[in-house]
Amino acid sequence: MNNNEYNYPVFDPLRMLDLLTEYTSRLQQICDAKSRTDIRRFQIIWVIGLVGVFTFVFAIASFLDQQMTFNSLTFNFTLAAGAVALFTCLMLIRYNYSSRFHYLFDASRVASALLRLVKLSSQYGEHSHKRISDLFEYELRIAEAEASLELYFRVFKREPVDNRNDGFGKHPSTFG
Amino acid sequence: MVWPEAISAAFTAANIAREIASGSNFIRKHVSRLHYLIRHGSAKIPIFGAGGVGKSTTGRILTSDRPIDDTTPYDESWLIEGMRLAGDIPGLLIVAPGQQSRVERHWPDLLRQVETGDCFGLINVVSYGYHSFMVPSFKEHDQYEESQSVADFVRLYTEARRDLEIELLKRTVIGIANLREPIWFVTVVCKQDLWWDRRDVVKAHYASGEYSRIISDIETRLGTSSFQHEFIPVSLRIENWTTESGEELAQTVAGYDQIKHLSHLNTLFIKLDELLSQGSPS
Repeated sequence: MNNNEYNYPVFDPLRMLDLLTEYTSRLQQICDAKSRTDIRRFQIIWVIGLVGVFTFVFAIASFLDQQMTFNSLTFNFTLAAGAVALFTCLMLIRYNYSSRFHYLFDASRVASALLRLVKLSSQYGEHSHKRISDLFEYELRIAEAEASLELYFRVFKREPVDNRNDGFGKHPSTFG
Repeated sequence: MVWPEAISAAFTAANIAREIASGSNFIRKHVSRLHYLIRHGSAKIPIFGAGGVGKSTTGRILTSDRPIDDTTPYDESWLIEGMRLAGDIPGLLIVAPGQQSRVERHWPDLLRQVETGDCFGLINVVSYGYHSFMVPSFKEHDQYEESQSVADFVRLYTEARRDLEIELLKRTVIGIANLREPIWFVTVVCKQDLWWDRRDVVKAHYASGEYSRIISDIETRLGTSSFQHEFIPVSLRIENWTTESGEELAQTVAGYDQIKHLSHLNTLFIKLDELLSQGSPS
């Protein structure tokens, strides 16, 4: 969009479509990546947790089997394996937090921009639609962008808040 | 049809001024009561109206503990907003998005909720066509024609938007036509500070024009004991109507001072307080 002599941006529907498409696809990619990572992490934690439980049960069983002595080689081995499993779980949980924030930062930045674009496009669609040659495609892109925003709110378990007051998430609105 | 005039013989400007001077207890008392009802009661009130009339502002002001300090600029609602205070569960003001494409998507569900008896009242917000928009300049607007003056643009734009108000009222009324539960219906006529000098015209437009006819029809259909309608003219805040780039489309009318503003705002709180306390009209 270019500024004109009155210093306001002149509406360019094609540019708006490009921006909508670009930000929608970026947000979609982040949400997909987050979902894939979540699923993978869940599977790994589940498998390691299962191994940990079996190891623990095996250790207890071998402890009981050997008349409650702690010096058997099997017991020490299973205890060590259990400790490794526990440590791996803790590391994964820690990694889970850090990567979650990494995605969240990117996603909220893109979502904030996309929300602004959605509102602007919707306003032009309502008040300045004579300039839009293909209103159908225009509305389709807005609908896609909104679906993408809703996906973002679900995937990142964020309140579907508005970005008025210039602070994404500060407005006390939620879905009805 | 009742059209409350807050400035009456019973409430002289001097009385109101004294009340306001004594720390706005007058308003505060009703605000806190309304607050309580929304927070702790089972009130679920949808707010309908065209885009830019002031639905979100109405919701914000009714749920805010500082209603006269709201300065949030116009921003489109892209989804249904449920407004409540942080940490509170029951009682909700549900603001329906008013842009025409969103009306199709969101209103039927909300109207179904009204029809199934989930809500015992609803609010329709209008503003005599003075609908805010986020298009940077009025020259970018479809209504604008080459070398048109601001006044001409405003006249044509507000006319078109008044027609839209009627269209949306018809849609709302169709949505509640088969209602079995009693309901109250409040029409909040916003942006009083922009039309105060033509208040008789505005009153005639809503209280004796097509708007009133549609309301009378639904009243006849549902029965006067099941349908109760009120008009509440108000200005949610006093500000000139400008575009995003700062072009002034309409100025607040001379003579619409803070006392008038606060007393009408107070009427809004008192009326809604009464309706919420009463529950459904039966």
